[in-house]
Amino acid sequence: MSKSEKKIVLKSLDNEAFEVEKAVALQSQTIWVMCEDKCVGNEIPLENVTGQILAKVIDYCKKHAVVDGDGDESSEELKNWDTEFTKNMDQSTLFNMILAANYLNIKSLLNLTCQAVADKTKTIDEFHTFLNIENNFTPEEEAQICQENLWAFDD
Amino acid sequence: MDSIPIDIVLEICSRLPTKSIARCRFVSKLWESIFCRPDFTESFLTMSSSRPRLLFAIQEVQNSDWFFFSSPQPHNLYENKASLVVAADFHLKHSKDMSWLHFCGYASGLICCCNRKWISEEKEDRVHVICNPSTGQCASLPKLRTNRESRSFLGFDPIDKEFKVLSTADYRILTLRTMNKSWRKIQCSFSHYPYSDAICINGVLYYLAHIEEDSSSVIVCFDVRSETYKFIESEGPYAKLINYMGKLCGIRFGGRWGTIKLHVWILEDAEKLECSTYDYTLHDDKFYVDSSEYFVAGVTATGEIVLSMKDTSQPFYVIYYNPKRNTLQGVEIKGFGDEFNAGNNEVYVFVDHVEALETTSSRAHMEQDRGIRFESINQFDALHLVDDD
Repeated sequence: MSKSEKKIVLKSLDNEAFEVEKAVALQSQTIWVMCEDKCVGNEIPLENVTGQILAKVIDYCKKHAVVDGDGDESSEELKNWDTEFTKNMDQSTLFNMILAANYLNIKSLLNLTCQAVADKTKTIDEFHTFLNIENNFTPEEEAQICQENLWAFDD
Repeated sequence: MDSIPIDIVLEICSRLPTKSIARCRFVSKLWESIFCRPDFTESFLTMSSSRPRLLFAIQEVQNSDWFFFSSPQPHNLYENKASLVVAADFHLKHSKDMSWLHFCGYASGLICCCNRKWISEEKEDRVHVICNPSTGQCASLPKLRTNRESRSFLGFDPIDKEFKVLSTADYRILTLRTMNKSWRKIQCSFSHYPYSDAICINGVLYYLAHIEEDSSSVIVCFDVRSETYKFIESEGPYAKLINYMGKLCGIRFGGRWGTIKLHVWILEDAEKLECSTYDYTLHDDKFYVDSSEYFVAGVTATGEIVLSMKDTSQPFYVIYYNPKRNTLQGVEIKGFGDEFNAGNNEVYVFVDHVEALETTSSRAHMEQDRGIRFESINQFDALHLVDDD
């Protein structure tokens, strides 16, 4: 295999191009299927992901890729890296990371980002905002449910 | 911002603590219906099983109220973590109708208690209450007239995901999920008198009993799914029955100041009745153990025997003993609150407790019976939190 065949170019929604090792990109099941089908050339357009998010996804994949010649990192070290990775992301970045991980079908990244959101969601209002959902209970219904479940709101 | 696909939201939600789920139910009617769906409660249970907790159920002597606390089980015992702080889960207050709730059993995240009302020398009326310590919800079952020495146990069938309560009075059983809850009579070929608590392992309830006919001592194996009995000869005198990594195990407990002795038998093969036995002596130069202060709580999925203090007075310790490495690790449990300092409260400890969503269904759903398990009752008019941190 020549050197150029080991590389692949990912193109974001806003036309930012990223050249990465194939082993890095193939952690995405979506890209893997695209490459298998040979329906794309060496350049893969990703229409749902912005350059800013794609850069982060690639960072993650590089860290988690098993590349020839690279020594295996300890799982403990990887775990710490994962924690640091999501620690300072704001809600909107996390949200977009989840969508990207889902679209690209990278199971471990989806797990990681979903867990991060779950860990950060502390109040009901945060959840409203995050899910972008309107509360459609009538005030009477809400009062009744709250009454029945006082414990859940007691903090 | 695009909206998040529903399966991803469920992915996130299955990682939330039960209390947050209860909160999220109030986000919208759509979510409320989703959180009651059996597929969601099941995936929640799967996630929850991957983060097992220690559950403490404490019955306060004065008012007979139940208090539930839980704490994460330490992942790595050998990193020398000396203390853990428990979070208060719920407080189950006694009501006018039910002053005293006796503990009956624990299975897959739920607790069964019962209230006993005296009728005559032999008879009493029992009302069983199922409660979910993770969500604070309760359901009371139809009254059952029993003889006074009978026992009740809670079992879980992991295939049909069915909880059942078994009463040894007249051998009756009740399935929690059914609409018309009633106590059905089942067949039992040997009349027997249970004398231990039961443990439910992979859909089989085990308890110790005397056979009426010849007073011989047996281990009773009750298959929760098929509702059939089997009896095996029991090995020696009383032992606390526990789940040893999926196998039935009995532990006898003894010792003197500074040491604890454990005699352990494990039922390796229930068909061939093969048992293996082990004797352990627990002693630690740095950590003083007094056998009179402890009892066996269970065994973790990784094989550590867990001992807990009997009394809630401070400091309160839980001991993890690893038989393979012969190591002993004491972990101080903090956060029960000052009212438990006085001691004399009954403490039950459950290892590898999973948070279940079983009773988190609202009244609206109860009427429509959409995937709900049992109703919430208001006999305990004040199900509220003691403390929340």
